[in-house]
Amino acid sequence: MNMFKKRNVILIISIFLVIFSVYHTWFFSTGILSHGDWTFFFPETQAYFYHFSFSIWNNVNSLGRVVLEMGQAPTFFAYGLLGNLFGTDFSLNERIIYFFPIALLTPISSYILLNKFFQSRVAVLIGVLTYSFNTYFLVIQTGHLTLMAAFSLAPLILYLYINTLETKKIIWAIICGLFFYLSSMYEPRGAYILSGVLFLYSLYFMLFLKGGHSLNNVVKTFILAYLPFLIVGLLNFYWIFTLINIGVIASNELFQRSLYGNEFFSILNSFTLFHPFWTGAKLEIATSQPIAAYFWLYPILALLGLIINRKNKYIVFFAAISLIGIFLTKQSDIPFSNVYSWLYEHFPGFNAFREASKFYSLTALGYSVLIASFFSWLWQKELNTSLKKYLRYIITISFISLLLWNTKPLITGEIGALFKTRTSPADFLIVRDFLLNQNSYFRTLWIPVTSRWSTQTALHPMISMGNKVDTDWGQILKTWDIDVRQENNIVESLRSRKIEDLLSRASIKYVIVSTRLSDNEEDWTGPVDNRVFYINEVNKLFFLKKVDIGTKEIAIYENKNFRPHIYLTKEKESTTSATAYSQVDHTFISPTEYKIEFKNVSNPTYVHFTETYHPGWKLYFGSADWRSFFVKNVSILSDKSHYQDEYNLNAFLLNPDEVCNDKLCDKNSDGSYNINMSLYFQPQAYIYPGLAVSGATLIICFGYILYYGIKKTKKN
Amino acid sequence: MVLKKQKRTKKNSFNIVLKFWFIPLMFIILGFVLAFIHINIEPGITILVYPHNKKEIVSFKTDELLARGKITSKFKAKDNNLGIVAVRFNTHFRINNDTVIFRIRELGKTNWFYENRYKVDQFQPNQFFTFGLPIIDNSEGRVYEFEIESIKGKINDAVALSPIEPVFVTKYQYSRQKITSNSEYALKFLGKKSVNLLTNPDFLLAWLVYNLPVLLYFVWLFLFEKFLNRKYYFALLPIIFMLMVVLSGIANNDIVTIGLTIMWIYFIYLYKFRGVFSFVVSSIFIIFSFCTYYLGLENASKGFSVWAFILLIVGIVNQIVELKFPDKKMIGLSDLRDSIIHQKTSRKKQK
Repeated sequence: MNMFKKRNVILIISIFLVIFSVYHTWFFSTGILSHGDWTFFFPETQAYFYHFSFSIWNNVNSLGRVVLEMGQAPTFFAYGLLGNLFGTDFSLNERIIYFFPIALLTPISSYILLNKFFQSRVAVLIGVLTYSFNTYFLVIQTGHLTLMAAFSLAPLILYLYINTLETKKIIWAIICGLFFYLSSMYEPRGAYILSGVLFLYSLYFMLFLKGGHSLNNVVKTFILAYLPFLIVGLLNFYWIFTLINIGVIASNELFQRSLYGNEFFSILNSFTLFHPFWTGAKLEIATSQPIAAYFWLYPILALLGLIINRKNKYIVFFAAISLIGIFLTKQSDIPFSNVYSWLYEHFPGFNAFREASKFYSLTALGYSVLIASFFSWLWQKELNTSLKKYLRYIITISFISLLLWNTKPLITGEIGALFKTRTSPADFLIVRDFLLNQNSYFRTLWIPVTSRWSTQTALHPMISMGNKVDTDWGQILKTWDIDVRQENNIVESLRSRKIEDLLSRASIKYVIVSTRLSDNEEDWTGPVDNRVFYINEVNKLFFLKKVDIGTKEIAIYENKNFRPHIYLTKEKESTTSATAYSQVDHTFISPTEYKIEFKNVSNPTYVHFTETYHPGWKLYFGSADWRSFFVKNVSILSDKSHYQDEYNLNAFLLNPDEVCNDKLCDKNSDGSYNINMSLYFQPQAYIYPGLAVSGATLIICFGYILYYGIKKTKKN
Repeated sequence: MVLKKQKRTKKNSFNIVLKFWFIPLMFIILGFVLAFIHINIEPGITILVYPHNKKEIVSFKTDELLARGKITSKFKAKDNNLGIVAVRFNTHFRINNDTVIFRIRELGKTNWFYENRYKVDQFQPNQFFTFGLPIIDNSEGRVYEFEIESIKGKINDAVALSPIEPVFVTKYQYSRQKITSNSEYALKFLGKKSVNLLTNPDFLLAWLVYNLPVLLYFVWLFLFEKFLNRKYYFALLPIIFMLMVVLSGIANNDIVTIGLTIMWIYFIYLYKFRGVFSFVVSSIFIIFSFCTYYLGLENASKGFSVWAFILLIVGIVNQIVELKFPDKKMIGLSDLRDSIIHQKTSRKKQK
């Protein structure tokens, strides 16, 4: 027994030593880790998350949008909470929320699962290394940490699920449901993949393992099998309910994109668990790499593990999971090339996977068990000659070395990305101070694109010119050309005669030509530094005045004609003629609510709100109350008065003679009206009842765990 | 007595030759002729077809072809008389309303040799769409570039290049009159046609399909010929077909894949093989896949991986059945070994 414990301790210490060596940048440095899609937040952005994580409208980025990633709101809230409670900055918060859990939970959860199936410590160690250090997981650790965090919990959730069905105890189902929710909170797509595994396991268990013979037993198994799903569904209810009501859950701009990367995915990569961009050093994005010979050991050893332990029902299940992973990750490669695109078009939820790499997680999970199965056999087999024993050591050490070899670019830092700390460039800090010192609302336009170091707050949202000219601005200004480089589209847009009107009406006060950050691996468009090219073009815009704030490379220009966030015009605005505007008193309550005080309104007035048009924005008489939106007689300005202007922004026609009565407006002696209104994003009203359901579910779950704990303690 | 025995042996030998050599050979020759006729009905007997892979497309992408987006390819003509470029499109299984412009010219020339517009609603999912052009007599060895430009493709209403290889084929039209009148020209054409046919995956596929009677014939032998019941080595037949499919480069055909999978399942059912058989064959295919990958034969490597994958699926299902019904009598590896040894011993005894 002591020997067994000692062996376990040695194994765990070895795993941790490996983890700390591989992730030394994460554990033993304090610098900012930010790269690719993994962004950076200044304290003011963290503060925004503290207050407004559960706002369904995001107004700090671009011209505002519906928060489709609302399911991840708790993780954003965690940034704000840590910053607010402890004053911790982004670099520590990101480590607490993502980096440490990923580095530690991936091997721990894999260890817990494998420990259930294998007695051999060596087998468990190899399984843990296979799961933790496969090329797919290492690639997504350079940027897609939300996914990696979800996958780090997958083996643990599966273990809890297996225990739920085997023990038939509600407590396991609840704990499983809570971890499952944690996984979905990090990345709903990761949880979606895992839900498929759990569902298949439930079927496999009921049909081939111990589904039970009596009706009572079958019903109990069935309820317990789907209780974790119910818990996850209810805990996510707040955002699912809201997005369903907005009508974007099944179809939105993210889900309508065509498949990506058919040319990179191949059945060979799928079999060998080899990510197509893996080079063994810095990643070569969008370039298929040849498969290194040793990666063929994965399928060969996995298959040997299956053949040897084929009578073990768990092994057969994990082999099936590997095959599903292989089939999906090959995307449109042979065989049955059309299946993935068919699933993408028709299978519910599958349109969130426009490229198949996320399904490598299934192969990794399956292979970790199958390969461990082979080594379990190897180490439990009685060997009678010392030659065979030596051979066993050689095979094991060689394979462990190859698995660890994958981590070389992480240890040496060659891979760069999130394995290299960064500092905020001085110029961006100067711009930040300059912007934060101004208390009025305006936006900033970054050319060619925003940087991770750009300042974004609710008071000063940032817009990326490159992104806008590739989407709606390109179409509005008629400058968009798919065949032309983004830099030319930007220049063509700057030359458009509508540009002054567009920037002013979008509340853009500052146009900022950003600096190129090649040392930060932020090579924005193209191989050439075109900063001078952009500056020359912006210099031609007579309505912009260059401002010297002490930056060396960043050029900043002021637009004196920018409009307020909410303003009034007497006539309908047009792109062809200038329209006079007037200010209106308004107060920002939250990204989904503004208070507006109209004074002395006598004629029909156009109210302009410079956020992206959405029919969910309503002008509400008096103070907005989310509960009132569920009552029919709520006093809202008619939807007919709300329209989308030429620049995709919101505009309302307020005709006091038509809408005012004694209850809604205060009539002045001169016949004009004073009107207090709220501009409210109506879908936000769905968040609150949703949160009540999700919150109640969380309380019930923890309540049951507490009750179970007390009961168990008393019993003992 | 000895004479009678000799007569019986002669009769048996005749039966074996007839059953196992003559009839199958007739079927195979017939299959070859039918495949030849079939493959030449659509393009015509005097047309040579050459496949081109995605490397010959400039910046190959399978994203939707949106308005003003272009697909560009540079390819070297394999023969004279270039007359058709057929491109495989992905329609996303819907009717798209775009129109595309196809244009082609010799590389380096400023003017387009030929240009025409085509509505994409006639494109079939993952099938070749034929762009015809005036025949270029002396095309062999010259490099041509063609462009396919979308006029009004938009998201969710546009076609894309299909990821299935070959992405496009070029076709070369030989003059029928010249073939019949000029023997030298005819000989040259026949040589090229033979090579072209034997390297044409479609022909090999058609040949495989027209050889299905051979398969049915063998199935008949298995079902009704008692003496074959324990000839396990006949299970090698689907494996041989799989090897043929991989080496002939038609591993990307789903119908062939399904057909051979059904055949493999049939043999497993017939001989009551355990799942381990599929696993072992799958392991061998993975090793083949590994070897061919490093020999630079990527398509063959993929083909072996495909069959390794399919056999694994069959094996897993088989294995689950075994685990569900442990009492069911099935043939394992050791049973097969014993059976083969037993057969050899009894044959020796008979002799």
